[in-house]
Amino acid sequence: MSENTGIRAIPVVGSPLLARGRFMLENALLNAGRFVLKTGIATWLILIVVWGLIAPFYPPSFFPGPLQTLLGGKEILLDGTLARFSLISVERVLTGWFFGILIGAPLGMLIGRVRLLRQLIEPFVDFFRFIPAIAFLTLFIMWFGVGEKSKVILIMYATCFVVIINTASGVLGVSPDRVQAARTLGASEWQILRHVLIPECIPYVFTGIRLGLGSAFTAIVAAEMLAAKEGVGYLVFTSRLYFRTDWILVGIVTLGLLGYFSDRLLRLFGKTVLKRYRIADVGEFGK
Amino acid sequence: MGLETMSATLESAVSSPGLPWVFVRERSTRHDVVVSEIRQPLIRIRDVEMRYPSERGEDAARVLAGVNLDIHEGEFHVLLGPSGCGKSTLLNIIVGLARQTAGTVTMRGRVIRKPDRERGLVFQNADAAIFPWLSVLENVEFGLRMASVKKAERRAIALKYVDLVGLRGHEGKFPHELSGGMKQRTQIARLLANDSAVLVMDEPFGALDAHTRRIMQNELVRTWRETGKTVIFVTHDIQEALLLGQWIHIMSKTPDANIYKTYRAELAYPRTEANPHFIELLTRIQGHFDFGSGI
Repeated sequence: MSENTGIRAIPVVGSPLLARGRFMLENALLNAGRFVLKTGIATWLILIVVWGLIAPFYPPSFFPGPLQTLLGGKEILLDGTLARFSLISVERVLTGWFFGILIGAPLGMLIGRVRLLRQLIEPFVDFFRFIPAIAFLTLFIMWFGVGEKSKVILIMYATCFVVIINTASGVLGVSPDRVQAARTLGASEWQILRHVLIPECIPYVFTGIRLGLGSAFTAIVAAEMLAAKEGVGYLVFTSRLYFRTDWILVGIVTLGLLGYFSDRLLRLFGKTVLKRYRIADVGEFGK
Repeated sequence: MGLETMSATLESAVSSPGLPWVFVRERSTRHDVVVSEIRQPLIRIRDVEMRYPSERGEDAARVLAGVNLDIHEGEFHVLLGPSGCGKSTLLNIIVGLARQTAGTVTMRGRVIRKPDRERGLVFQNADAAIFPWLSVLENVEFGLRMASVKKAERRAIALKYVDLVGLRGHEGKFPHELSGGMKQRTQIARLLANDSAVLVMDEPFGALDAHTRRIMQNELVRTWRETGKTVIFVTHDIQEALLLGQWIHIMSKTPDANIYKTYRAELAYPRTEANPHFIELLTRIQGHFDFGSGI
């Protein structure tokens, strides 16, 4: 360092290259830590470790460990049972859910838009939404038989109410200015419905649809436990007869995964296809 | 004020270039508007009264009483008055969103019964009025889409007006990406694209910051002069009224709100507060608010 520059060199401990390397490493570790927390990997790792530590204290038929569960899962995965049962459950959920939306969304719009209808239907909706779908299971089996019909109708019922309530509140929240603006732009009543009310409600309907999917899963498992020969609910319920507690756990995990990924898929749909409607992409804690 | 004296006032105003504004009338009685009946106005408001039904029904207060106003094609009218003087009620009646309890409102001789694309409304709260799921261009196209204009054609028209209001380069943005001023430009453009004959504006710049408001006022004057549209503009800001309007109607307070006084301002555009005539008129109008009875 020459003396006449007037700038004093800052002493560096060790080689600057090494310091840089350490910095990069620290950064990478920090980022990895953030990633592990954000994706939920950390949560799962902790859960599995705790599970693995507790399970050895109990007999496997009472509380199997992670490894045993994995092996049990492999067993029913390889013979195709798990895939078949999952597919059957998903099919039931999707059918019932789809028809539930098909009925719930237009009905919600009508309830939100027509005061008379709202006054007529609201007490009815408020009454029935507190009755869990499962309460109707035996009735539906009596009325619609033990086949697919009763299960699909049960899921329809479970989905319908959340969709109706959310859609109706969406319609009620429509900005009157926006409707009037459309009117002064020459829109007919039909065009207002099509081009103002429906787009305005889409975020609400979407929330209803997402919540409805949750109720649909709850309902299908209950239905399959009581009246089915196939499906994930059936797997969970009948495994106890064979003392295959590991299969029960596999069934439970499968349900969680199915629900998780279908919700993810739905959210992805909301974020891409319905992007312009600015659907709030929130999880349970609002983040 | 009688018809003769009023014509005389108008005459003198025209003949004396030294006075670019003129006091036109006291109270809007039917006799005052006789002069303008020579030419068929675009919008004619006659003896309009508005009562809102009260709880008991009978003794409903009259918000508006005996409002008379003629608006000719291409004119810029400002309705000036304090909050709650029935300005917005009058606007809603003109647009067709509300129905007066007495009197008539006609456009091109036809009674206004409901809103149509001839009279477009610019709302103060743009967030509640523009369509957040549509881009700027799609918002501007909205009216044309309702009228089933073909896509390529309406896109071309919309782009023209996006350009005119100075939103070029922003046409692909969504409303949540726009500033307050840009949202108001979008509202104006969508009425222009829809070829509304009258732009009815309800305190459109009230929610903007002072700097943006000033820009928007100048832009509105420019747009109005370029398109030749008729503008009915509501404000409670005297300065804004003077910067914009050819006709300034001061409204009295409710109940029985009325057009209290009318001025015709012929100051050249773009206007500036530095103009002595501007100050003169401003002082005079301010005087009505400070010392006048009934407003």
